[in-house]
Amino acid sequence: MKNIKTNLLLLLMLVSLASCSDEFLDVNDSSTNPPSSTPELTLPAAQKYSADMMYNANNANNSFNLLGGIYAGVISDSGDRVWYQTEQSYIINNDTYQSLWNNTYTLALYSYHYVETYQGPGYDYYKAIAKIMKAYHFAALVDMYGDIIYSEAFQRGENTQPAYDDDEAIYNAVYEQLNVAIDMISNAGAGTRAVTTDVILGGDMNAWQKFANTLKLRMLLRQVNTGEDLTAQYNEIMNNGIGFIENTVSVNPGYLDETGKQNPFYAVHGFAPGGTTPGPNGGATRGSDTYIDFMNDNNDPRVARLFLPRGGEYIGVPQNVYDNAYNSNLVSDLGPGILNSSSQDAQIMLLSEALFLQAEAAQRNLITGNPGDFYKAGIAASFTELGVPNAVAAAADYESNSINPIINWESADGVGNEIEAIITQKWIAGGFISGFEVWMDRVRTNFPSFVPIPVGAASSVFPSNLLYPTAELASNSANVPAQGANAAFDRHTFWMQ
Amino acid sequence: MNQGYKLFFLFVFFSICSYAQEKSITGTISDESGLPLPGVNIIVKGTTNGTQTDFDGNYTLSVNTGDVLQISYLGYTTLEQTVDSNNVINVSLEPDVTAIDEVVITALGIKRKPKELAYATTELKKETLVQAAPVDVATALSGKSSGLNINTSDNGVNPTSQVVLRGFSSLTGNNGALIVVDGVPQSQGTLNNLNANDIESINILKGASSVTLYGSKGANGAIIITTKRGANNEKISINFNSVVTFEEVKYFPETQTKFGSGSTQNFEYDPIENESWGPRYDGLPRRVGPILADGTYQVLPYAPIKDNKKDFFDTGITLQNAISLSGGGENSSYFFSAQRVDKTGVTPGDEYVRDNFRFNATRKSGKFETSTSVSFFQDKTDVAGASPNDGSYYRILLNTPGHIPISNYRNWRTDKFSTPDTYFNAYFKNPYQIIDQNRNTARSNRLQGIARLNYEFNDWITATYTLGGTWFNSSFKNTQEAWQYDPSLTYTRPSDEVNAVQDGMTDNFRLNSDFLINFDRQITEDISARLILGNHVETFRSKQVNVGGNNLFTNVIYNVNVRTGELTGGEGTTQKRLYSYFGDLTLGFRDYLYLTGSYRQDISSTLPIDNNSYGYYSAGLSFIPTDAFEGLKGGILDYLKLSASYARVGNDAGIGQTNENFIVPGGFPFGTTTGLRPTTVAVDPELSPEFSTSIEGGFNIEFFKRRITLGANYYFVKSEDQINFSQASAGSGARSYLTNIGEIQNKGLEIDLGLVPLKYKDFQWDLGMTVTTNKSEVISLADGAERLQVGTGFQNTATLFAQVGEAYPAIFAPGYVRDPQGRVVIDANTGDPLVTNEFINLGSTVPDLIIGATTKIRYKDLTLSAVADYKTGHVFYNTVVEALEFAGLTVHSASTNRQPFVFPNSSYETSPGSGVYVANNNITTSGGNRNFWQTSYNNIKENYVVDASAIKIREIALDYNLPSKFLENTPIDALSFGIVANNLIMWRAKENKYTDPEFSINTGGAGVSGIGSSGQTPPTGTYGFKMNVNF
Repeated sequence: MKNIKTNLLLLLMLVSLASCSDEFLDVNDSSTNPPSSTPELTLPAAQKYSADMMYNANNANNSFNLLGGIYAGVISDSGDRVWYQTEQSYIINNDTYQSLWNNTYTLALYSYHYVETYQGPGYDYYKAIAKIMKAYHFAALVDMYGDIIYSEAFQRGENTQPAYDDDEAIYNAVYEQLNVAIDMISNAGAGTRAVTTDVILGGDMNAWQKFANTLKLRMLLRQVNTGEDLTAQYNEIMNNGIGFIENTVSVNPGYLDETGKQNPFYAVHGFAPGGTTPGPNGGATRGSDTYIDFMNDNNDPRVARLFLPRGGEYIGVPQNVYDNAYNSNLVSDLGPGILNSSSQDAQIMLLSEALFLQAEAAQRNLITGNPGDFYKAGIAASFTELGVPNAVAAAADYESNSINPIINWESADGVGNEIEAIITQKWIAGGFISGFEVWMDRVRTNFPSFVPIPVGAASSVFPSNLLYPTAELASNSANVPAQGANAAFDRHTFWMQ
Repeated sequence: MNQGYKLFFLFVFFSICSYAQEKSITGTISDESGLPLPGVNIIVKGTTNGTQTDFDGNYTLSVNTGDVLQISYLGYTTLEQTVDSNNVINVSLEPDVTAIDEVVITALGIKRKPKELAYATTELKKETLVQAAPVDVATALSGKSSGLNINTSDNGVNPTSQVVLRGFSSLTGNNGALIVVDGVPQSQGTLNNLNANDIESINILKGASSVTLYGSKGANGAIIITTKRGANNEKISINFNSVVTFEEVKYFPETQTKFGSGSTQNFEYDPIENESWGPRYDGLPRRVGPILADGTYQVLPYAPIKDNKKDFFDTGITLQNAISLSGGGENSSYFFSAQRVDKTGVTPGDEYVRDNFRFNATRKSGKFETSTSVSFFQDKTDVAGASPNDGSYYRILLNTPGHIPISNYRNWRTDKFSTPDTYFNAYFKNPYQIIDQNRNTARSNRLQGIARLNYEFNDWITATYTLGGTWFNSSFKNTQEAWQYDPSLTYTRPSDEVNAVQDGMTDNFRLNSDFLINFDRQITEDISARLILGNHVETFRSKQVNVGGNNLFTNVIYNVNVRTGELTGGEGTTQKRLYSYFGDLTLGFRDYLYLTGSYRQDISSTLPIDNNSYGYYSAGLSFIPTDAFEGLKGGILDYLKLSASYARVGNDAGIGQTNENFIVPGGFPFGTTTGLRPTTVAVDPELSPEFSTSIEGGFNIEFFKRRITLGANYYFVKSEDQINFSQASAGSGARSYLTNIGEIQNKGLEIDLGLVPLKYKDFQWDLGMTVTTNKSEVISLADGAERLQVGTGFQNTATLFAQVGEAYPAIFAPGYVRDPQGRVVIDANTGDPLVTNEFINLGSTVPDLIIGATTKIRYKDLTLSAVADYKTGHVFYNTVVEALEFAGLTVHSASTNRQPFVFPNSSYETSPGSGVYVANNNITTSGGNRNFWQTSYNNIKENYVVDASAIKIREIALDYNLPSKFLENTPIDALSFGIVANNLIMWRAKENKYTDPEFSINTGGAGVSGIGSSGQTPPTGTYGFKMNVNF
């Protein structure tokens, strides 16, 4: 009897073993994350990351625009907060803001790359948008680092150590991709799906072509000191019939007053959901005294939109000075022109920038048009962007009443200060919004000329580049180009030389 | 519970009454040299009537004339003695040196004779484990075995620890030892919540050779725990054990005591500042904190207060009460235990409660034997959480200037100068407010059932089936109470906070099924053979659900139901299944030469289907010359064993690792806008199992009737083709690539020495020493990669890496630029030291030498025991120093009286790139105050990576056993009292002024350690009393 029972037990176990088939082992799939996607689903994700790269690239508040705003002498921190001391001291190592590189490639660019290379008919518009946005990010990476990974990028496991390409060659290739994108939109076939999930331009493909054309202008002007003859390119962008952006280009997936769903600039420098508790850098981020005083001294009404008065005055903080006199409750907070609400748009190209680009190009006789008109329109656009009441009239008053030869166009024109005036206006308009552009303009032109090097800075020249990130040195050491100790200051991107 | 205990005692007394016998005999049992033997078992043959000798070797037993006494003691030949008319029976036992007949429980519960073992093991007996009344088992292992490295990673009421054998070998997988309880593998956390009193023995299997049969999970060695069982024919015995210990903060970080509040370069006093860059202390009264709305303010002497921060902490109290009951009849045995641990922590308000129950039973009917083990564990934790804006209370506490009497601000809701609106600090909250408003509570429980069926077909074939199931679930609730500052205040205050709650549950189930057939036969007179064939099936399923509300409209209850805004949270389920077949053959020749070999084939669900089946094997040889050559033994040498083994162990991937999925990015969905992005982890479609190979060889030798025992073992472990997240260039679109890469080698020596220098009737001194050396080296990583980040870094300022050619893991951080002579290079313009652009290697975080020492001195009924260990050869980085540097409280920041100074042993380059360095004798630093220390000096993290060497006296215990003569007419068999102390003394490297070098935040993932955080409270020591009663 007992033997029978034992044998039964053994039999039972053998049966259970026999059932150890492939099905038994098929339990490894994720129950949380789906195995596939579509361009409709991935485009908005990529676009949200585009905004994040500019305003909060790593959920630790590093971003292109914050770094740019600091190196352009615009952003400072209050005397009792030690938030940006490393940045303001110009201490730059391979770890400095390395998430800008890492996350631009993996979160923004690779998501666009997925859309661009998606196998499926009718996605030409999606793919064109992906190309344009890839160009936007690649150009910024070249600006920041010089030679980067381009032609061997995005092969994931197939090539985890991609080679670096020459910065100028990448700039040219990216520029060409913008042309390809413009053509794809113009020549899209009948079966092309309308873009329904575009959280930048709402699927307006005309507007995407204008954005691409404006990016081309930005990239051409970057190279203004290289001596390269780019006449043909300037002629092409003027004569292709597309024109330039007519409105600020922004990302807004539907930002909400909820944790993780706020506009990234507002979340970092403004307030936590609810609007009262300061965000992580909220008690710290302030305007520099240089930036605020320039507006104070020139009766610029934008100061009252960018900052809140403290005792009736607008008070900035000298960079890298930590002193009780500049405590957070004694200097100006950020104002409603840049901190509006959790759901505000995240700008990726200001209309004022587009107009100032045209002003500069016209002033340099690279495109046709009246530079003064573009300049004045640029100021008006900036006043509008920052919400100055009666913006157009106020802008005209500001410019025409000024006797400062780098504000008043006629005065500037008289003494040959036009470019300085244009770049200084870009600096005011974009200092807190598109700090990266402002920094790159400063590298390119050394304007505004009155921005000092912070006290105690590690270098007597302001930085021009970041160093290749630690992650690259660790993962791709065979390919990372060697850099000298001074590489963050040596203006090594091709157009800087 | 109280009711339960009463019932027990009632039951006990009844049982004792039923054992009235005819006559009472007494006697002394001694060893061959006449020294009394304590703890000798004396049983009346064929009955359950028996006793044990006390510490003087004396016993008393009620018997009938003609009964046969069975007198047995480990390591001695069992003796039978018939009871005659004498009422005094003295016996002397002969040592059984020919065969140390104890068995060692090895993988899968297989019992083997030590002679057979071709690999290193250490067995720890129950007495050694519980001598210092440990709350958790992990801490009770420190210093007691070679090859073992235990890090207690936190010091809260419910600490976690990590047990590593023979160094770190896995890059991104698990490095912890496998924990096995009664033959069934467990999660690592089990060691922290077992009742230590339940343990009969712990066998530490140090290398892969010993655990090939456990498969992949045993690759890092195993801790085999065997719980107590009742013995057959044992009378009912009841043990009651009670311990109270007190815990106190020790080794609080040293701080400067020269300068007080201020945050500028110019020594300005700031009454509301938490940083200490102000003027020098002068003892004069000064205003502290803001001037309140009613015009009043605090005035305190401007002078440092000794231990002002340490006074924040309480004395923690731990109560442990345990009862156990065991016994057995002819064919059955049982063991039941219950334990409650009640703890209050050193952090005010922290509490922990734990209950353990266990029931083990065996029954034999003919050839069929069943054993059952059921255990239940539950605990409840209630500890301080972090403030969402200010972080951990400990960091804030560390920031407090030296003249603030912090413990005066305890009544933060009511005291005039302690409320959030009036507290002195403008930038950070009162730490008492943080611990009160932010609470992390958790409950967990585990139910485990193990059933084992054993059937003897005949005297050489046995089949065993073991089914073990573990149900574990835990839940947590973290709450955060709102605070809104009075908006009319004109002085600076920290930020408002909102009410919030996070709730979550984890539920998992683990089932193991093992079937073994054991053939054990003496083939010829000289040759014995044992063959084990088996099958193993395991399944694991885990489900986690978390929900949260980031803003609640009330603090009356904390529930997502009363939130404003969106619900946060998620759910995830993971599963793993694996089955294997294995065989193990042991051939013995004349009881002195053994050859063992084993093979195992695993089929795992976590690998790509084409590569999911993999085999591995081990082989070993042991030889006992003292048995082979008769002349060797006797006089001096008693026993010598030589052994060598080789093993190769395969390992699969982590659950779900091979999936490349699309992720919903943070923030999505934004209303109706949905999104998916590709994962940043690329997976090798050809992923195959990883293997580690180990070779070991050694000897065990015993002299002078075991007065000297020595075991020495050399090991070499090579882990290759690791399944590993190699770092991918971000330019590839992925951040990491899961593939087979790299090789890490670990080698070392393990020595266990036991000495009995003195042994007399009333006095015995035992001494034990363990030595462990470990040298690891990263041989290769992914093609071309020089290093790989492992574990979590600290705010991008210090990171653990595997670096080719270096020990693993190593800590990397920005360091000093040094000239060829090793001098610190300064910037000739500023006088400040230059910082390296790249992170540099600052040393390994794993000790290369661990020495443990145990000692036990017995005088009559008094026993003093102690355990100490020394670890060295490693460094660590605890970020408490970061918090102190920021606040101007480090000792070094006041060492130059906050004046510029010539940086010691420095030089400068004559001109950039010249390569010519000149000694710096006159260029002073840019400053000696805030800017210099907080930024220039602080950027060089090399300053904070310090020598982690330490000597710790881990345990001291003094026990007194009441002589049995005082207990003769009581139901009590044995009664002992004791004093215990844990971690009361530690000597650290001089440069470590900060904390316990074992504290580490990196316990997850690869489990590599070496970076600690200010989220961990300071080290503590405990002392207390214990009492043990046996009925």
